[in-house]
Amino acid sequence: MNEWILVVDDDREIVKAIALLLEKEGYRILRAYDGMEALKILAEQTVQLMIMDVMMPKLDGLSAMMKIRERKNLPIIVLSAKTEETDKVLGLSMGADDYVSKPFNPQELKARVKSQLRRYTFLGDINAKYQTDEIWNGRLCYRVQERTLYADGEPVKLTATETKIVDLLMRNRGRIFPAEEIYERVWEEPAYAPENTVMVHIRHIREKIELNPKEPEYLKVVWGIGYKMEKIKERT
Amino acid sequence: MDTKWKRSKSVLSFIAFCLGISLLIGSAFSTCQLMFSGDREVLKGSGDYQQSAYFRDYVSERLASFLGVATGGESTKYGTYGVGNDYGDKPWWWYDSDYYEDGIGYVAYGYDENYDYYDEAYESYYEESSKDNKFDVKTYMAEKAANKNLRYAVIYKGKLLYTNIEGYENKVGQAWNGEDVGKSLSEEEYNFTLWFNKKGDGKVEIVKDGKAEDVYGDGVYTRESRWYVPGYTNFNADLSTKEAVIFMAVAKTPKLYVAGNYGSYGPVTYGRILYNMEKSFEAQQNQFLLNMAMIGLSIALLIFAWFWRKEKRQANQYIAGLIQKIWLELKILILLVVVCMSGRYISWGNLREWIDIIRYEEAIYWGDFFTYGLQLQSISPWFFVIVFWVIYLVSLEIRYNRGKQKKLILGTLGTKGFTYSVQKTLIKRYRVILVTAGLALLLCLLSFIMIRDVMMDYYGDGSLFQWIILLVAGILAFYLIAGIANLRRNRQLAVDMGLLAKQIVRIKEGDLTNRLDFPEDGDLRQAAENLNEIQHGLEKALEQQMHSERLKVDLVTNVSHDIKTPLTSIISYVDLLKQEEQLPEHVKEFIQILGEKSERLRNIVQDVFEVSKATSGQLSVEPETLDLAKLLRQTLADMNNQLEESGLTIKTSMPEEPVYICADGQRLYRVFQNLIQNALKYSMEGTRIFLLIREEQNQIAVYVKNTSAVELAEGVDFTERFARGDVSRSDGGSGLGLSIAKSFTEACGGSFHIEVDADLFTAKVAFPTVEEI
Repeated sequence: MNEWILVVDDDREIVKAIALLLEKEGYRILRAYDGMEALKILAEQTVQLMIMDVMMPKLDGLSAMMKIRERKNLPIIVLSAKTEETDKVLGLSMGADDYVSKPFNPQELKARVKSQLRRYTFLGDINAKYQTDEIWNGRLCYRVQERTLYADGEPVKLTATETKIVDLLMRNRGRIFPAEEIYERVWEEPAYAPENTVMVHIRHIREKIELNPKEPEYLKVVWGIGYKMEKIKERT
Repeated sequence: MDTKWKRSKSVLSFIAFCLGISLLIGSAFSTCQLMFSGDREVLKGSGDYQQSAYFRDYVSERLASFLGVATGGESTKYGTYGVGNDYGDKPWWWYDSDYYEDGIGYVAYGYDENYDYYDEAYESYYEESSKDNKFDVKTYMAEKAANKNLRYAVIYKGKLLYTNIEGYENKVGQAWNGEDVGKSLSEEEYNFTLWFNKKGDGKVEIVKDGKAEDVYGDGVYTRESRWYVPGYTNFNADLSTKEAVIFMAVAKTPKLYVAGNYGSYGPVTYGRILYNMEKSFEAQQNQFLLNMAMIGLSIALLIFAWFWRKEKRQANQYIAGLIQKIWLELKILILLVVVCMSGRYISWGNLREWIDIIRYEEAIYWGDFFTYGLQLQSISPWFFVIVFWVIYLVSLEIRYNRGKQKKLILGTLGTKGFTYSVQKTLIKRYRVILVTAGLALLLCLLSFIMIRDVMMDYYGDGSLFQWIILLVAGILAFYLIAGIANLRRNRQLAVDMGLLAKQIVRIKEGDLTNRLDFPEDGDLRQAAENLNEIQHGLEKALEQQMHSERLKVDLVTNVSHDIKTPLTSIISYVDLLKQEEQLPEHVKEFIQILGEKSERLRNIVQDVFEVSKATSGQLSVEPETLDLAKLLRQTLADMNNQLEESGLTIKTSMPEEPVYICADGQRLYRVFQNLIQNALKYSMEGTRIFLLIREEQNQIAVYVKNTSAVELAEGVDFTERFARGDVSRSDGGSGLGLSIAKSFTEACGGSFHIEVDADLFTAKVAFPTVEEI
């Protein structure tokens, strides 16, 4: 415990707020106010996670990230005031592990930090005993035999129906299921106006597995067609 | 330089080909004519007329008539002695009764200038002969005597009866002692001598140029025998004939002998048969030699052309290009004329005759031969050259211009290819005039022919009327040609009009980049230029609009970024404050309010950003086929919590079966989310919200209807950014909900309308129907 987290932003108040937020959770915080400074700190000290703004003086976030990725593998969460889809894709493809757009919900940021750290440490020792009945998807792992879903290595408490839905969707990641099909497969009876019922369960599952249930990353609605478990590509 | 040489090479090769082929065809046909209607002797290229079959026939015939005269035999109806129909291959143009040879003329190629005498003489003779059916031998022989080309001595029963040899004329009536009557004639002048029955054996002896000729061959007369004279084993002279001795000498170079004869019916020509025969033979022989030379030359030219055949092909293409420019109707007319001309010459009957001549090389019945021979002879070799070139040009047309567009006069008259009625009208109105003129011209020509053929038969002379009609026809023809030329200009005008109309449609549809470019002298140039200016103005205005729109988006992006950074701090610190536990209750309440308002500010910033992007067309859309009813059900399910909290009832009316449209599901979800939220927010408590899907004409419409809690201001565009139903803006919305709904719907290719009827607020979202996937 007591991981070191490097917070980089040219807005000192934001750095301070994030620091306060995370220190309360027991993390130790390092602060930097531009990309160069961040690189300097990283060279001197072992850091477990980094939160970095994109638009900064001297060396911007993306360039700094490229430099860091040349030698280090630590999780990086990118903060940005830009909300364009393309910016997000660009950030992630250049080596960010997560992307949070400003203005962010502090609780969401906290959850993401936790998730990244847990995965980072968890992945380190789980890789060795990778089991064949495990289905991995991003930060989710479904153990088929146990019928248990793990998020960031921690089991998620699901009801029997929710487990059935997760079982169906995790086994068929990327495939779109109409509500009727989900209903018929999970409840095993003919569907009549299943939309509401399915949606309620989907929402509940989301609240348990998504970092921000309002903007789900895993359990998605394909509007006008059905529901699906997004197939997340692992960063290599 | 190089291309110039290439071009001149192609021109040269084509000229060589052209000349070569023309000469070859002309000469070859002319040679054929000589072969089939002239004497084969000329084909040897050397020799004289005395070797020709005509000459032999002439001599045989004359011998026969002299024998007739000598023996006192009957003359035929035509006054000819002796010779019947079985005449060997006597050529047509020497067909001539003895009687007409000397004196009154009917020689080659029809009647000569003495034509007028012909009827007279013929009739007088006919009357005479019908009296006793005997010809006056004395008159006959007197005429023969005048022909000095043929010297003769007719001896019967040892007595000299007739002669025109100087020195013997006074011995007529005296006994002949067997002396050579021809010895006084110089061999230079008369190189051909014939004796009949000189030795009393009833045979003919011929000496030509001092050499005796083999008259009888193997002694049996056949059709192939050269001389039709008695003395063969199967062609004997009878006893009375054997009493006669005939001497004939023929001039080497025949002359014309003209007797003054002014006392009776004017000058009369004698000896023209031999004269013409010699001249004709010589002419034909020269023609033959010339033909051979021409064939040689043409072969050389063709070889030359063959060496440059590649270049010639270019010339062919060039010529094909030229032909293409000619109106098809004109080409067909020319072709028809040529075909008709050939048809006149080459009828089936003619062809059969020709084939017969070629196959059997035998004499055909006189009359037929005369008719067909005449026609064969009267075809100019140049006609064949023309026929060849017509065929050649037709083949070029077929080879190179097959796929190309045909140039038609009728096409010029047609309205094909025009879409606008103004174009068609322009052509049609003009066409009426031209067609009328064309018909009038046709009528004029017809009446001209009728007047000439019919009236002239009756009245003998062409009337003035006929020429007036011809004049009118000429004027009409001129008018028609000018009219057709003008019609082409009118067509260009019509095409330009079409382009102009199309351009207007294009501008209407928003194409502002393509400009019209008419030629300097185009009739619509000014109009096109004006239109271009309008287009340019529009483009500029649009550009400016786009530019300002882009500026606005940039501004919104920058501003929202600048708002987001301090907002991040506010939200973060409010969150930190919330976690403070020692604060008094009222401060906690303040912090709660701060939290809510900062959250709303965040939403507004997000909405402003999206709406400005959507209205400036920079929103990314990923359309796919989806079920609109399902999307609505999903949306309702998603918003279930809100719906339950609101206490309002939602009434839906949707088909069970899928309703497919093509749109971006994520965006469309936002549209209906906003609409339903809007309805929830502004509905009067306890009322119902109606959500209906209707299939309308080619489109599917979704209606969201609710009863407004406050009175709706009239004449407000609710989709305007920040527009509100209540003008005071005292409620909690960002005012962008409907604006976002509208711009997202339009970005997905749908239409968005708001209707207000008293308190009933209706939003209609419509999409075109899509066939099932």
